[in-house]
Amino acid sequence: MNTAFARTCSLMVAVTAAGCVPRPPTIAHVHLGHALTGVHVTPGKQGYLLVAEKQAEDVVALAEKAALSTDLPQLKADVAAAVKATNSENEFGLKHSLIMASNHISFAATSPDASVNVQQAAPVFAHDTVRVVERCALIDLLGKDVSASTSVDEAKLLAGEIALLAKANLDGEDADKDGKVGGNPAEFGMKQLRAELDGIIAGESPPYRTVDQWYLFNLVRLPNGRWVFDKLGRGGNIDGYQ
Amino acid sequence: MRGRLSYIYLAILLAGAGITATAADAHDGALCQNTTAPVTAAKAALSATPNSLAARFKLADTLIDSNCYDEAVHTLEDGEAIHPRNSELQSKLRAARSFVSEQDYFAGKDEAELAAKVSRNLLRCNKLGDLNACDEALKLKPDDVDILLSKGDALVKASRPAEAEQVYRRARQAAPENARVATQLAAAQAQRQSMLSQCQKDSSDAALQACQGALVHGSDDEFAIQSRMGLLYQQRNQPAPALAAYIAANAVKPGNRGVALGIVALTDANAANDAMAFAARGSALITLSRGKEALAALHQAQVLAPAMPDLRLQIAHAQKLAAAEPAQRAVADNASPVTQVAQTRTYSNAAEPGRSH
Repeated sequence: MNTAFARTCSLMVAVTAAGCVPRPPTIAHVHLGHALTGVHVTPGKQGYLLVAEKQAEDVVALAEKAALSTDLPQLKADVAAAVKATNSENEFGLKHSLIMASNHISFAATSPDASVNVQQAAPVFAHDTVRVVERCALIDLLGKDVSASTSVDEAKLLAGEIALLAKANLDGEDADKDGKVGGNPAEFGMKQLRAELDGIIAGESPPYRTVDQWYLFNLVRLPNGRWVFDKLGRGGNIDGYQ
Repeated sequence: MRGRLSYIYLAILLAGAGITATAADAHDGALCQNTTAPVTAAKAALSATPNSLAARFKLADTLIDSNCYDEAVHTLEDGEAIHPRNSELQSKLRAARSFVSEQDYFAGKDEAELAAKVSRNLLRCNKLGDLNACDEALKLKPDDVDILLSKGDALVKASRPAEAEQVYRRARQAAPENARVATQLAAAQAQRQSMLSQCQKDSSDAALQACQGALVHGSDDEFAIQSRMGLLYQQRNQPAPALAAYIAANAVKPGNRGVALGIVALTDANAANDAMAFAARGSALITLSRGKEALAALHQAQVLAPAMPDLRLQIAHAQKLAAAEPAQRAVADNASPVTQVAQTRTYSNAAEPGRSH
């Protein structure tokens, strides 16, 4: 009996030591996971940054197509689609998705288990998104001008400018002409923001590991303000959390 | 809307940490008010019991309620030395720091919206010559050299070098060392000279446009351009702009006989019906030494606009002329006919002095 009990205990200790009992991720890392990997509300339940990157690529393609068009109605339609992919909130356009990614990094920074690394990096990341947000706002304004335009030449010129802004949103720009694209936050695009977030992740201790979908989709806030995982797995969105 | 909601969720998250202010408060950009009664009382309480964590939290919460996020962070940071590793203090500190960064974030977002508006207007001003866009951009950044240069360039493109010159001069004040400003100013001045020359020599529509483009209010040549424009409009049978140009010329340099003849002819042909036209007619008739008629026109102006500047002075002048008129008229009737013929040639539809109207 004693031997059997000892064996059972030994086995349990061994299994635990080998890491067979999975430890839940930190709340901060789940919030980071929403920015990076997946969240229940986006198309395809992808992470906000992934959605933002995809939208940024789509905007470039649409704006470049519009800039080459000589047919005013078609040009306007392509620009309208580019504006939607940039600024739509309902369809998680580039701007909205990026802001949400930044928000979730801020959520991570305010979590009780947040590392000093995340606490310090979150406001910097939020600040560094501003140039992309600004370009999105400009695309919106120029899109309205295209929509109101009656001249193909004017609309083409504006579509060309939108295409340049879209490209800068994707790859960054060299605004100060120092030969370095995305050399400072005022030149950042999604490429540089992705690198910055990768840097934040690399600086995490304990190390960040890809968060399992169950945790990503079942983080809920209790009425007392605490974040917990919904053991019933109801798929998140409790209390409107997005 | 969802974006806005997410900020509210962030506020809820912070509220969970015991911080009572909302993200919306931070977004409102309200100024820190750290001299309010609750803040003062909380400061006094902490000062009396500096080791009290409750007093420190009370002050931090009150400061956050008063939008003083930086000061709240400092208050809590000071407490770290007294209460090391206190989890509640750490939690509040994290939340307060988040408010500071959130405030910066919203400020950055507002700046982004503003920058986008300026960029849009600058682009339209620069690439499409949209002067409204130039003006909109300048409303937000009145001394921005790039915008001033773009507006100047748009005006040059629109053949309005006189206005361009003024805009470039503003740019030069803002950036005296800027080489492009100097180059563009010189180009605008050259374009204006060329247009001025066309304005004076030619009688075509292009000449009239050249006059308009070269006109600078307050410049030495304003009188010459305005009177020339009056003549060109008169030749095109456009009495309203012709009269406006003559009135402007008369205001710059009163007493010119040619301009006076133009005003009288135009107000004869198209009955003057506003105070400005009656006053201009009165002034012109004084120039032509027709005191009684001048007095009648000036009285009409006075009825319509009693507060019009210089009207009383003009009336007094006209009264003097009217009193001396019978004697002067006789002299005038015998005066040199050369001047009258010359004026009649210049202004074919102008009234000759000495005739009754």
